[in-house]
Amino acid sequence: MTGEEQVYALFVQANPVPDPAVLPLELEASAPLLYPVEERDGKMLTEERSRTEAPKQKRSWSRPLAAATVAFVLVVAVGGAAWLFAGEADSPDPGEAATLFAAEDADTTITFDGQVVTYDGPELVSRGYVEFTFMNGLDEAATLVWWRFHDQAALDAELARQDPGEELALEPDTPQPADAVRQFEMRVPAGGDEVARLFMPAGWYLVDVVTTESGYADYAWRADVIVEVVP
Amino acid sequence: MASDEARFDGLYDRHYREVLAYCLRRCDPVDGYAAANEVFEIAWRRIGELPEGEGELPWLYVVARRVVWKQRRSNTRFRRLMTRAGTVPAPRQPDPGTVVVQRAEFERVLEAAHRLSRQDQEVLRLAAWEGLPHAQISEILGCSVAAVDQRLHRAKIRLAKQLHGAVRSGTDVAKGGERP
Repeated sequence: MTGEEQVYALFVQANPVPDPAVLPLELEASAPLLYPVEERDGKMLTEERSRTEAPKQKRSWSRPLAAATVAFVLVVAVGGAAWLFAGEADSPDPGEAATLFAAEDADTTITFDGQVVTYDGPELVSRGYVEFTFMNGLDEAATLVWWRFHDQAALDAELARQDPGEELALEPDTPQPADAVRQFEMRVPAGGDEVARLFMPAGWYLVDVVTTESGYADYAWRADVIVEVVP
Repeated sequence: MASDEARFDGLYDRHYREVLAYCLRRCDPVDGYAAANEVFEIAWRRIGELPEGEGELPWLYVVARRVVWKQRRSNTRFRRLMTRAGTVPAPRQPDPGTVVVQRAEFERVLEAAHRLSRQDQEVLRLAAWEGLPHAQISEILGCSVAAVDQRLHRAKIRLAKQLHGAVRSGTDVAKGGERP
């Protein structure tokens, strides 16, 4: 047995759940294993929160900037079904009706302040011109590259091919998307803002936002803004 | 509708524990159970799209993979927000019921695996822990069987290098093949 195979055999033995058959079906059934939970004090009162107007649909997320990180990737998938990431918790349920915004009303801002990336915009827009504002808070230029896929299957295949992992990071040698057209580019200087009015035909868009540090390959982080554009 | 329910019941009986095990191998218990439940919630919503027969389990694993990935990302974001807010919740302790890694060598090999790329980790786990044949792994990862063979082979080599490197140095080594 080679050294690799021995290590692999050790990894096989290190399986945290070697026998699924003995797993309790409910978490409650493993109560002794649960972490200590806060016990409710008898003096505690229950107050129902007053209902407020539903907030505007907005997605925001953040990621750390490691010292050596020099880029991030933003994915905007524009097109058909919302089940782009099957099973993802904050993906819209296919059964839910989204509010349709006319393209010209679609106020979309992508902000990166060096620590937080925020997308502010509707999830469903009609085909037409959409104004995108990209605010680059980095101390280096960033480029948004818009790839357009003709169908969801092609984009799904691309996303399945490229697993950005927990940190949404793409490998430095990530090949360019296949079966896609390079539709637009936006280059934004360090600390600058750029506004682009783009005609968005129906389809699926993958927008990579990449920066390059001299001496390194492009680095990229993939985010999950999902926008549907309907004809 | 009755047939859908019967099919879902059968699906649950056949595969719930396998999906739960998949999730628990990648999450802590609370998140693992939540992820498994979410997988079956999605399966129920998409019962009409489920492949028949042997395709069921790979389909569920694909969903589970995305659910777990999403969950980790959410947790990471939450921790980052808390970090900025100045209140970092302590990470959950490993559950003694599911984490049976007690031997130091197991811990070392798991630490070494954790330093691999996400792709390497997943192909190793699917092969070693889920025990799936390469054809099913190729379905889950969306690549050819030959690519799975190659990925797994390379992942084994990198795992051994990570482990031996860690043993030699006695300290954490940089993520092999990863960005700085």
